[in-house]
Amino acid sequence: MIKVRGLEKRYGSTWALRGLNFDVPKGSIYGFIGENGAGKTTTLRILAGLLAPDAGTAVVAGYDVVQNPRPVKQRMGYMPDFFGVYDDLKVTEYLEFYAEASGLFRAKAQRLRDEVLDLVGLSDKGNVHVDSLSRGMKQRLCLARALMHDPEVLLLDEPASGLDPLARVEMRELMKKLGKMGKTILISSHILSELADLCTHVGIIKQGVMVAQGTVEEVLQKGLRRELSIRFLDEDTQKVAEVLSARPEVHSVSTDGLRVEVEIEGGPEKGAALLEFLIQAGYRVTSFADTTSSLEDTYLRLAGGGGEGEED
Amino acid sequence: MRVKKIETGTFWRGFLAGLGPIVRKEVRVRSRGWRAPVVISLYLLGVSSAILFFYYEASRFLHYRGGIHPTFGLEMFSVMAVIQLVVICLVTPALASGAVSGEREKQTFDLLFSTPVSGLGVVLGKMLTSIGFALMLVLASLPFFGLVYAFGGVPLANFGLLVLVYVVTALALGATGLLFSVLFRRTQAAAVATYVFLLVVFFGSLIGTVLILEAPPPEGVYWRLPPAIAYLNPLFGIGSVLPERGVPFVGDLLHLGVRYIRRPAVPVTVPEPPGLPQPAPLAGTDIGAPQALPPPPPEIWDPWAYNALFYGIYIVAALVVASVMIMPVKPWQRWRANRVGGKRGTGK
Repeated sequence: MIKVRGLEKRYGSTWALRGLNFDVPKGSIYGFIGENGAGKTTTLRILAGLLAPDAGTAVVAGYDVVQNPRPVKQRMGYMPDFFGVYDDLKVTEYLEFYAEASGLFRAKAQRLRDEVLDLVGLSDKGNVHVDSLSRGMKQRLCLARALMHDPEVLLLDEPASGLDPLARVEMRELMKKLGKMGKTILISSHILSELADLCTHVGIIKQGVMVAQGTVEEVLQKGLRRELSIRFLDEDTQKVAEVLSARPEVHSVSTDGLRVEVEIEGGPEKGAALLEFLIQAGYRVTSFADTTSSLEDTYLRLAGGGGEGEED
Repeated sequence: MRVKKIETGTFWRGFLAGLGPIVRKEVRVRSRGWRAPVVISLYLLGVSSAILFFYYEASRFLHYRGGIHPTFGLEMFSVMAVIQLVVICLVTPALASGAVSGEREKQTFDLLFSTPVSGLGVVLGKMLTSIGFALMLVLASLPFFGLVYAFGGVPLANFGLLVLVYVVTALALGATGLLFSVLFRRTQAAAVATYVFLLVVFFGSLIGTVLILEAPPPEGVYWRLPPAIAYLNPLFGIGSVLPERGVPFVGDLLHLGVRYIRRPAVPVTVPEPPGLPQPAPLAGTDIGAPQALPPPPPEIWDPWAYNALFYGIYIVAALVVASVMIMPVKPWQRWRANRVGGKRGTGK
C-alpha cells in the first residue's frame, strides 16, 4: 500500500533522509520507530504531500505522492504531531469542513460525522467548540478529521504524544479498532511500549536510514540476541556452560547456582533447538524461559548501537 | 514499482473542495461572536458622525436662497464615496494579509493541505471572504447613501459605477494582502509588507503621474494620453465616477486630478503665422493654433474602465502567483522530482 524507494531529503547541510526504503503492506499497522530527529516526521510529511523529497519516490495506494498528490490525499488521512484548531467552530462544523475539503458532499459529510464521532468516543461533544476540548479530545478529534473521508491509508505522526496514560490507552484501543476495520496505518512513535502490542509490522529508522523492517517477529529476530534463562535439577552448571559455549548460536553464557543465563543469536527456533539439544543430551531441565527480546530491546540494539545497514 | 497514471478532473474537484468549504467556514467564523457586530456598529457610528459633521459644515457654506444648496447631495455623495474607499483600503489588506499566514501560525495549514484542495480554490476562498467583510461594511452603510437621494442630483449610474470601483479596488487590495500572506510566514510581517507595498503604489503612481506629465513631451507629440501608471491609483478611478460639480470640494478635487491626467499635451512646435510674434505657450493650457494641431487621439475610456482593466490583470496575476506559492509542493519541485524521481537515493 505504501512503497518508499531511495527517499532523500536535506535541510541545508543536514540530511534528514538518506535513501530511505520501506514497504507498508495493505491492511497492516506499521510502527515507524526512531528517536527524535531520525526522519519520521519528514517521511510522513512527504507521504502526506506536504513536502517534496530531494530524490527518490514514494507511492501511496498506487499513486506517486509528488507527481499525483490529489488522488493520494483522497485515499489518505494524515494526523500531524502538532496541529491547531480553528476558533469559533463547533466539533461537527470542524469535521464537516474537512470532509468537504476532502471532496465529500455536504449531506454525506453530515451523515458520516456522527459515525466518526461515535468511533472516536466524542459523540456527546458535537456541539462543543473545538478550542474548548482537552488535549486528548483534540487528538481524537484530529483522528476523526483524518477518518471523515474513509481513507484507505492513515498516516499518524506521534498520535499519543502529550497524552496522559489513560488517554494513551484509549488512543491505542482506537488504533486497534481501526486496524480491524482494514485500514493500513503507518504510525510513528518513539514510545515503543505503545507500538509493541499494536503493530503487525515495524520499521526502525536511524539518522534517515531504515536499519530494520518487516513483521514484528522478523525484526525481533533480526536484531535480537535472545536471552534465555535455563534452570537445571541437579547438574554441574559450569560443565553445562562449557558445552553450551561450544555451540555456534550461543553468544555468551553465565551461571548462577543451578541457573544458566544464555545469550543466543537468532529467533525462537534457535531457542527451541537449544532446548531440544539439552534434553537429548540428557540434561534435566526444570525451567526454560525467554527473558528478553522485547521490541524495545531490539530497537535499542539496532538504533542505539550502529545500525545493521539498510534494508530493501 | 507500478504507479498509476494521473487522474483527470482532479483540478476542478480540488478547486471546488477548496473554495466552497473555505468560504462557508470563514463566513461562519467571522460572523460569529461579538467582534463583527461591534466592528459594524462602530463603523456605522463613525460614518454617521462624519456625515453629521459634513452636514453641519456644508449647511454653513452652501446656503442657497434660504434653503439647502442644490449641489449638497452631490457633495455628500462624494464625501461618502471617499470615506468608503478609505475604509476598504484600510480593512481589506488587514484581513487578507492574515488569511494564509494565520493558518500557518495556528498550525492548521498542514491539516488543510493534507486534503486534496487546490491552491487556487483556497486562495480564492480566502480572498473572497477577506474582501467580503470590507464590502459588508460598505453594504451596511448603504442606507446613508439613501440620504443623498433625499437631496437629489446623483444619477443612479454613478452609484453603480462607484460600487464597481469599490469591488475592483477591494479585489486588488485583497489579492495583494493574500499574496504577501502566502509569501510571509508571519501575519505581522505580511501586514507590514502589504501596507508598505500599497503605500508605494499609491504615492508612487501619484508622483510618477505628475513627473511624467510635467516632463516636456517628445518632439512631434501633440496629444498625450494619460500615463498608464495613473490607473494604478484608485483615486483616479473613483474621481471619474463621481458626478462633476462646480463647488471646489471632495468630488472636484478628484475631478481635478482626472482632468489633469487627461489634458492634451502642450504643443512643442506651434506653426507661427508669418510676421506675427506669438507669446510662449503656457503649460497646462490648450493655447496654440488649433488648426496647426493634428487631430486628437480617438476617444479614450473613462479612467474607471482603465482602472478596472489594470486591476483585473493585476488581480489575476497575483492570484496565480499566490495559488502556486501556497502549495506545499511547488510545480518546479514536482518537475524536478519527475526528472530525478526514478533515481535511487544515494544515501549520502
